[in-house]
Amino acid sequence: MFDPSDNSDIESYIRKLDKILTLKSVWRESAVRLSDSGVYADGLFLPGRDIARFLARDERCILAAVTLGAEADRLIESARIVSVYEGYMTDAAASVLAERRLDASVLAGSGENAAGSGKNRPRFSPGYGDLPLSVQTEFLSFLDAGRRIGLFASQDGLLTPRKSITAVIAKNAAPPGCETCRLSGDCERKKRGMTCGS
Amino acid sequence: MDLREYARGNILLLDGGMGTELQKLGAAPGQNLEALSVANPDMIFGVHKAYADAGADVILTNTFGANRLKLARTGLNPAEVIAAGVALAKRASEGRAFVALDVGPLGELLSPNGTLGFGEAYGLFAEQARLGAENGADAIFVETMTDLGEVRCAVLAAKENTDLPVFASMSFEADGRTFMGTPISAAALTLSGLGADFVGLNCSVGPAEAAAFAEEFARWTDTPVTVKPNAGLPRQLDGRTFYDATPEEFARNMERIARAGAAAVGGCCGTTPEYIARLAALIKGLKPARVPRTFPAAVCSALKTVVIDGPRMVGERINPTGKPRLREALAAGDADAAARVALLQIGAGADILDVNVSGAGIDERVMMAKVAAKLASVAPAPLMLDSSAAAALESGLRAYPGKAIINSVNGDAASLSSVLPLARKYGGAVIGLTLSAGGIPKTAAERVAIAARIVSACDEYGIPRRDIFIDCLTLTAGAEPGSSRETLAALRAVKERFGVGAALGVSNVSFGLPARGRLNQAFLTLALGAGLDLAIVNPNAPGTAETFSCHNLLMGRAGASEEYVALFGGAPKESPRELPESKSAPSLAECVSLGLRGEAAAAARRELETRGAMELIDDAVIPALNAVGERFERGEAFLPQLIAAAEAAELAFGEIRGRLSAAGAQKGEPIVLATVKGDIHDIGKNIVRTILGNYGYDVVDLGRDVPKEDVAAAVERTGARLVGLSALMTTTVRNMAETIAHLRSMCPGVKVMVGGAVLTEDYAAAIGADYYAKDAVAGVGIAEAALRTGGRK
Repeated sequence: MFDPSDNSDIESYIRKLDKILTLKSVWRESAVRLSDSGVYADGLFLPGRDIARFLARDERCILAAVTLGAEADRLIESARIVSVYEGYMTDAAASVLAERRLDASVLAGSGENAAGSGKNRPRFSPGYGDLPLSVQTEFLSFLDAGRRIGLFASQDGLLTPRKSITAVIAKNAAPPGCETCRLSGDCERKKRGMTCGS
Repeated sequence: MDLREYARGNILLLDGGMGTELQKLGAAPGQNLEALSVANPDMIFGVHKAYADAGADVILTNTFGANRLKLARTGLNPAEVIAAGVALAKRASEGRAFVALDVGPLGELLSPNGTLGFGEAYGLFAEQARLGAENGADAIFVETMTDLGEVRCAVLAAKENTDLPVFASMSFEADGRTFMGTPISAAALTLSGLGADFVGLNCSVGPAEAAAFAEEFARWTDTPVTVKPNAGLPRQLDGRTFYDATPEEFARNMERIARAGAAAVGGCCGTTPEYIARLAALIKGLKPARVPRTFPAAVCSALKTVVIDGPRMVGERINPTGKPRLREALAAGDADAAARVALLQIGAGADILDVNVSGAGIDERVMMAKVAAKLASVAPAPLMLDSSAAAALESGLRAYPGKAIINSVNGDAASLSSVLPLARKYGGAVIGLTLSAGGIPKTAAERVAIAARIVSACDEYGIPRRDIFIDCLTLTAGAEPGSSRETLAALRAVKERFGVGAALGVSNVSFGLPARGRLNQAFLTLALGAGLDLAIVNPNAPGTAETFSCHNLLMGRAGASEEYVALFGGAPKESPRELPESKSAPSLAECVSLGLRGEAAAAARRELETRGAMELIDDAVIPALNAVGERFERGEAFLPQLIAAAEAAELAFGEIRGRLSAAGAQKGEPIVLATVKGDIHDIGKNIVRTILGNYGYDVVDLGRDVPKEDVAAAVERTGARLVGLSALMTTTVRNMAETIAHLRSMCPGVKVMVGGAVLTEDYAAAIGADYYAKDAVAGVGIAEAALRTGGRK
């Protein structure tokens, strides 16, 4: 029977991708300035109450964009064409890898500038709470992410290549939880007593 | 003077960085710099003038991002920005320099990596190119590209809409590939084949690295090479970027690059008028170095270059003839089935893939482009586009980001005059069949005579001999004694006499004969021995890879012994990991229940020996699937197990289907599935497709990023009563709502179920959906309920 605690299979997919893919990242430390309708991170305006709440206790934040690149998309798509299962596992593994690598990369890349050492700092991404996905284009443009890491956003705010993350990272911020999620009223995970990542 | 003419006698000195100069003058990160041509023209004029004063022969306009997409957020349009940009560069250069319209990436990835279609991208580039020409630019400089598909699109748009010289420059990382994975060889082959006047690189690296890259370009093409690197490698300090080469170091390195044969040199990020002035002092008056070279025969995809310096295996399996399921998929517009065949052939050792999509009910012109683009996104092997219709060949060539082989032209004047211009325009290699309206000549001499006609026509079109592969035609050995001997004699003769390559469809030799595999291998061995370069074969047939490997070993080709040992060295094959070796073979129900994908087909075959097909479905597969679905619903099983079970069932159905009686094999109720326009996250939709397929529905999967019109058309075509739509993002749920509204007006009565991470029951109702599917198992229940209650027809 299934053993839900056995993650060895997914870990093997992650390990496989880990050997092939490199994470490209670009980040910039910026001064935080709160406004009535959002936050300025240097010249970049991030609209919404939730991001303002997230950054309320920080004077500086890191804006980061990372991508596993077009190769990740290609691996996922080739896997899917051969087998839905392979495609699904590769896709999920790539997501996990991008998240893990972002945490590691920001910790390594930014030193002690913005946070305490040794543990992941809270992140907040476009699409969380009321910070709209439409900010992706400006976000990437602010970091020159297209030229520097080959990361772009579509007109609908979709990041391409797909296994990419944009995030605001801060030292004193409280990790965003269900309260900033638009699904919190009717969430399938919540109904099962789970949270994202659990 | 024309820029091309000037460049024949002089090394072109290009200008230096624009963006980094403007940032020094106060432009903010993320600011739209092109808008400054209108808002702050003096600032732009000053930079241009400084480069012209420094001695640059070519000034690039401040129009890098002056396309309609990127300008949308500035409130300006390309016409005013390009007019202003070209005028400023012309005024600042005062006739001392050529003015090139600068064209950068559109700022979005093209489909299938992103959602921007080829046609839309072409329109954006064409608009820029026309405006550049209308405003008096002397050239078009396409640069900083990382996607070979995008730069091809820009070059095509520039060449088809203007007569200006075109520079095509990509940005390569330290590993010699672009972010999208394109190596220099593929950029050189593809862009020079497309007729760019200059090909090369800019940005990303400094002059030291650029020297090796420029040299690599020159290995693959005699098109003049342009080199415009950054001022060294970037370093970050306090969130700002600095470059580590001094003007002196930069100029010295660039001088070396120019003396080694580059035709145009200049600077990108971090370079300033001082860098260009130093370089001017070193290279002014230098004539372009003419380095005589010979070039290898080679073709490429956007990811891989294949040099044809020995026999190459061309996979012939993407061809719907005799493959009803592939034909059906292609007729329904589905390119995935072809991609699956492609990956299987590559796994068996294919170097190149033949693509033939002609068959009853298939729109060959549309599908040739669609399959070429699909394969380009997943299969690294270069393509051989195979059609007797010039329109289909052209649509494939247009869509394919690489250098393809055109299969084929023959000795008839009509064929030569319709196909060779395509090879010339798009830069493809070409296969010439030694036949004509009179049929296939019997003797080698007659075939060689036709080959002579083809080669001579290629010469007239400027198609180099290394890009010509003559197919002396394999006939079945059963029909005419000695015909294979004539084929091989002709093969040797055309290679020797014309210095071209040879191609053959090997397996034709055994048509109508027993022991086809044996005969094919024997003929392949002989043909390889006669000098065959492109062997069009079934890579998955037993013995094919082995014959190649043996040939390569015996001929002493580089790497052949390693390849031979790898193939025959006897490393034990891994046993399927799902099963402990001691356990007896699992039943089909167990295979589905436990998701044993490696065992399901064998179990189905075994049980079909004693049970009927319908009985097996009803009593083994479906109950097992239901049980997994129930465990999933209760939170006792998770998605991986659900999908593994569904796939095991799908593999079993593959076996069972063949045994069903005609009545039992009837198609199920059609359901149309699509991930909506703007969204390329399709995991959920793919899972739903598999599971609905398990339950006998005929799922018409339209893929991802699907326009609402296509969904409605599929409903009309199939008579489907239920549509499933998926979207992952809040922004694309808007497109889902629009698709539903469109279906309501175009296909009244059709039911719509929706799913996706950001949807809820209430949200689904708010956008007008009939059903909300919280997961794939729920989708099955909905399908049963919706289709039981009737609906359209």
